[in-house]
Amino acid sequence: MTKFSKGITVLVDIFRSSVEFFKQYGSNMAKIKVKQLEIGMTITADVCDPNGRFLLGKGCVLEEKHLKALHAWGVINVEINGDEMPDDSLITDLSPEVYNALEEQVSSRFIHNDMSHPFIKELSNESIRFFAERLKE
Amino acid sequence: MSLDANRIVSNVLKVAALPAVVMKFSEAIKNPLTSNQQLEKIISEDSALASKILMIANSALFNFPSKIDTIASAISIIGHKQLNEVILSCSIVSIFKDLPQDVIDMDMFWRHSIAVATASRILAAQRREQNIEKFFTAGLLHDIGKLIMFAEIPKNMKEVMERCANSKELMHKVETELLGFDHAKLGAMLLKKWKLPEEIVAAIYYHHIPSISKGDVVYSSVVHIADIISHSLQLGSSGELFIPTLNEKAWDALGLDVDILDSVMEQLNIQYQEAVKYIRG
Repeated sequence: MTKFSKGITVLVDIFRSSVEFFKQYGSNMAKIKVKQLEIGMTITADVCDPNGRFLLGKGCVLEEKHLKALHAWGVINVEINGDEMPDDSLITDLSPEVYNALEEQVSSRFIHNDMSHPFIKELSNESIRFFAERLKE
Repeated sequence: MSLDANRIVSNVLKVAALPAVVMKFSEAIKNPLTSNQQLEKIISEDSALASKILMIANSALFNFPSKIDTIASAISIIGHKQLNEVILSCSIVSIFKDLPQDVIDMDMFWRHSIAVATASRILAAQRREQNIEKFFTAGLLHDIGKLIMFAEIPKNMKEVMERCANSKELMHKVETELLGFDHAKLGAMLLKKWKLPEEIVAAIYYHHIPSISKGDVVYSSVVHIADIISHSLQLGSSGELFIPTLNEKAWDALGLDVDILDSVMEQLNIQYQEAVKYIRG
């Protein structure tokens, strides 16, 4: 085998493994709140604290100590593999009728706002969660 | 029909004056030579206020690890400027607490004001602002103009509210249309007469549209966003049925990430309950 073809094989291998990598992580990343994290989940993007200090690297499998560090440094959310995303029990426990009624009630109060604005979107989602939690209690 | 906003404000000024302790304290802290003992003496002259300050200092709002049991330690731990805001907030609530109201549920009104105050304080802390208590004061007073209007011109306000319920409009817009001014303007007029700091007066004046303010937009933007958050969680009620329109420039001006929202709401829910207990109490 010439040096050249050897070089090509190496490149192809790198390409293949990166395709594998993206299949595993890149294509299916999901943002999750730190308080929803569980031990054993895999981080799919580097995590920094709010001041930009590097905390955990991509590919890290979470242990108890990592969770503690994320809480302590005030990290709000991280990226994990989407397949490991837990169900939102607060919402899934509600019957569809109750959920729809809740959603309708919340959105009827937002009529003076643009629902596609990221802040308003997040606020209305969080409001639904807030009222769902109250219903549960 | 157009009413005279100035006359309404001067009517209120006749019956509602800031307690002497507020002026004394804020004058005293302007002088760098004032000692903590002197400040302690000023607060202790008003025993109801002194005990309220201790309750607030020991609440989850401040979350200090050990108990604060004297005014002297409250002064050194909370700090002069912050304590000045706490005194102002408590005093203003007590002035208006017994204002007779038929149009609106006063308990719900103060709950809304306290929610906005608490949310403003949390947002200010997220921005690492120096004196977060000042944001609390601004939030607490943002609808003070509405309170005056409910007391002074109840019939007109009833009309405003009825029209909003039918046409699904926002109150401040209908107020301007029917009366020629809105509660934001009226509140700012009163607070200016009381010689409150300029940034608080401006925050109240522009709390619906911070982007039209020519000066600093941080105070008005914080109060604006805090108002929207409190309305969406329905913490208390100021008579407004809908969530006010977001001023996008105000949100951008704060430079905050939407992801902080759920932790802001969580803190708000805890601190709001405490603040209601102590501020109203």
